[in-house]
Amino acid sequence: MIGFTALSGWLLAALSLLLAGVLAVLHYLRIRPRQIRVITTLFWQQASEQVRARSLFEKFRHPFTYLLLLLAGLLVLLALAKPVFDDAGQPYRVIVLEAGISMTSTDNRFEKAIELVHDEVARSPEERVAVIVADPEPRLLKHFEEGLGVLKIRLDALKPVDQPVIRTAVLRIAKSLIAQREIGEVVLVSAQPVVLSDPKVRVQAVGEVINNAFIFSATFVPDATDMTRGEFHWCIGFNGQQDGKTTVLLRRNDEILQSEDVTLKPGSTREFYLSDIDADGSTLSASVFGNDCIRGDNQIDFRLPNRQLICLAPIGGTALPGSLKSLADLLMEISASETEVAEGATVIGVGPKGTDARIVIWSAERKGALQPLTATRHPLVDGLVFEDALCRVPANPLSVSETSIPLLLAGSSPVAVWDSNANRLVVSELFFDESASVVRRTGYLVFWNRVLHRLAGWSHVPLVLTPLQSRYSDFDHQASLAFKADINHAKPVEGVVADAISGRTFQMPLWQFILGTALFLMLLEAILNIRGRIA
Amino acid sequence: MGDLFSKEFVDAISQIRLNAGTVPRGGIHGAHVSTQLGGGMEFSDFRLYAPGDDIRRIDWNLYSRSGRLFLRLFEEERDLPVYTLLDCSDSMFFEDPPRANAGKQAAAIFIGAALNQHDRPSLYPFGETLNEGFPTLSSSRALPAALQRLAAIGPCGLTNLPAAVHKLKALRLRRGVVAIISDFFDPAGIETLLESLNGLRHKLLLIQLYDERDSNPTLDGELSLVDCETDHNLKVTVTPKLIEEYKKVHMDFQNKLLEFSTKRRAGYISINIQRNVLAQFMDLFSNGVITTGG
Repeated sequence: MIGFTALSGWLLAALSLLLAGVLAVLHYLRIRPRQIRVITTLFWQQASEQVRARSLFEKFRHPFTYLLLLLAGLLVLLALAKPVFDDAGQPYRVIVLEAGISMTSTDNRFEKAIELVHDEVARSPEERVAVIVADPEPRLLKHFEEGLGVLKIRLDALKPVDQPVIRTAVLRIAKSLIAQREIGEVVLVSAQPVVLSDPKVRVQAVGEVINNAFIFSATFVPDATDMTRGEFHWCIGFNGQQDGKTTVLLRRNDEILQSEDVTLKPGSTREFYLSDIDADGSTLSASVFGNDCIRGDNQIDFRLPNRQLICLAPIGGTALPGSLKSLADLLMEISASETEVAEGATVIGVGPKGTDARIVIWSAERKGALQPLTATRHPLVDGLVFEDALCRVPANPLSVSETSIPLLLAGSSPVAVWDSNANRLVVSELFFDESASVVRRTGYLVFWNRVLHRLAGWSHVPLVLTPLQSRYSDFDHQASLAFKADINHAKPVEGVVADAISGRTFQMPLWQFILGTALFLMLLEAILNIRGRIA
Repeated sequence: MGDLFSKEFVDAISQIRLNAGTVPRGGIHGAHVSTQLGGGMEFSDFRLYAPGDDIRRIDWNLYSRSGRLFLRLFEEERDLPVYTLLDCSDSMFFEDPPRANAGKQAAAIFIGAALNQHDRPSLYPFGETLNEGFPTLSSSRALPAALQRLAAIGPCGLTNLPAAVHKLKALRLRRGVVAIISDFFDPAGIETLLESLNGLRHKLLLIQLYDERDSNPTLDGELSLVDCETDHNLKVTVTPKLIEEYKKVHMDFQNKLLEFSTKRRAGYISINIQRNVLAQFMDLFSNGVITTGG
């Protein structure tokens, strides 16, 4: 069934009749022949009989051109009425499926949510239902013009992600899709108890309200006097219908730092802390167990900041002056550091004002063969590439203490280690060896730059730790939506929205198509009326 | 008479002669050689004597050589009846200046040429039928009066040449030359018109008055054409294609007229009404003698 958005049906019919009448009069006036007296009609009679006998079309030309004009005029009227195909009583329905962290429960609620989407889709004609998936990257799974086959394939491939959903932004997109419709609704399929005042949004809850404990936040507060240590604060929250028992667990590697059973009220949070934590860049694993159904927020890894004092001084031998000079120059560029180059270039101190920081350069007595220099996975050097640099292997293994952590390796032998006991960086003198190609490599300065910037740029402000592997920090939901959809929400336009967020080409509105057809018919009529081209 | 028959025109037609070849028997002495053999001056033939023949015309010399009686035959010069049928239908008066003016001048030329050699011209205007024109003229003194009456002829309805010819036949006139001056736009069609001329016993001369617009109409667009004689209304859309077809039909009309003239051994003269009629006659017959054909 067809409806009109710009003119009422009665008005359109009246205008059509008026148009037919006006066109008929104009057409009659146009084709009414001029009367001319001639000396004889003898030849004209025979000639026109010959022409007509050869052209059947000629006999019908006048009615045909009138019909063409009438049709063209009616189409223009129809186009002005801006028709839309409108199944009576069937609203346009945009289904928003939340696929965020709330759907990552252990009770298969996401599968149930997809079934619910299928049920909702089945309630409406195919061309009247659209589906949007709401996750950190909201997108159109099915536009009005797309078939159900496409939707099924896309739903089957859909997985919930361990991130929250920016619901308001997605709902805004959904409502823009039905903004031009007389009747339309948004169906929000959510696992969370949602209360919305918008009458156009209907919430379809999936799954039951469940008990869910989740890690709310984590903060590292450095000690005011010793910034290499501090307190680790973390907070857990709880949702549910009644009090829930939860076990919280904090680990560093395999070492359990904290383990506690707590009972939490629904909607409450509880903060835990652990004092005297080394800010050594190690990873903390926080977990909650127990009365909990949503698994995506149960365990999060945090990385502590690296705030170790470092000492820089040659031990045993004498470092190459050129190497130390370049190192000193580098330290000078770090504004947060206070650099002292001792007489004879034996000690270079670095650190915040009033704080000693030293890097110890360890001297090997004998030199080994040149080996490729590589970095370990330690946070200080992770991702560092020395571009196939070669470094001499120390004859004596570089092991200042048993707690030394290798940072750089020449072959398999460490040439730079982090001495966690002494809180210092120990670097083999061979690293600066004249024959090693390291000094001439970009990675050399990058290495020192990274180490020193990280260690020198301390502050006393508590750090809110972000989970490892998180995308929160570099993901701006609003900006992302704006970029992806390019929507002016102040004036939603269906075509633009659908096009932008689905990647489809623009759909020509029906009235534009009709108008184009009308213009074509007018052109045809004009061509037919060109003298000498008829029949 | 005015511009139609000016003094120059009248003077000019006094120089024109009419050559009809041999004329039918009968009539009075004139300038044309008759098929009748008799008391003329020009020897023509011998024939055997038959009882009742004038014995004064027996060739005695031949009798003395052959022993048989032969009669000497001489050609007799006779006058020529010239019947001029002038189309005075409405179509001849439709244009401005009317096509009838050219027709009247052509008729005057024929009448004048006939009188110049003591022939006996007569004029019959016709429209729906043959009308009474003026009686046979026998003297050039009657020319001014004849031209005056000619100039006064007005339109007389539809063209119906077959009816006029039928009436002409009924008059049982002495055989002579019939000059038909017309546009030949007969509503009955050219075929009917020519068929009616077939039974005419006179020598025939067809003088067609044409306008270039007859063959090259300049009309265009949606038109309702009204026949000036019949008031027949014809709605046409004049397109190049229709014009092309019109020309074909007109050409067919002309061809039929020419074919008839050839078969009938009739004379055919085409006069452009836009040009000077007398000049056209002079051009056609540079020796000043109009030949009427077979």
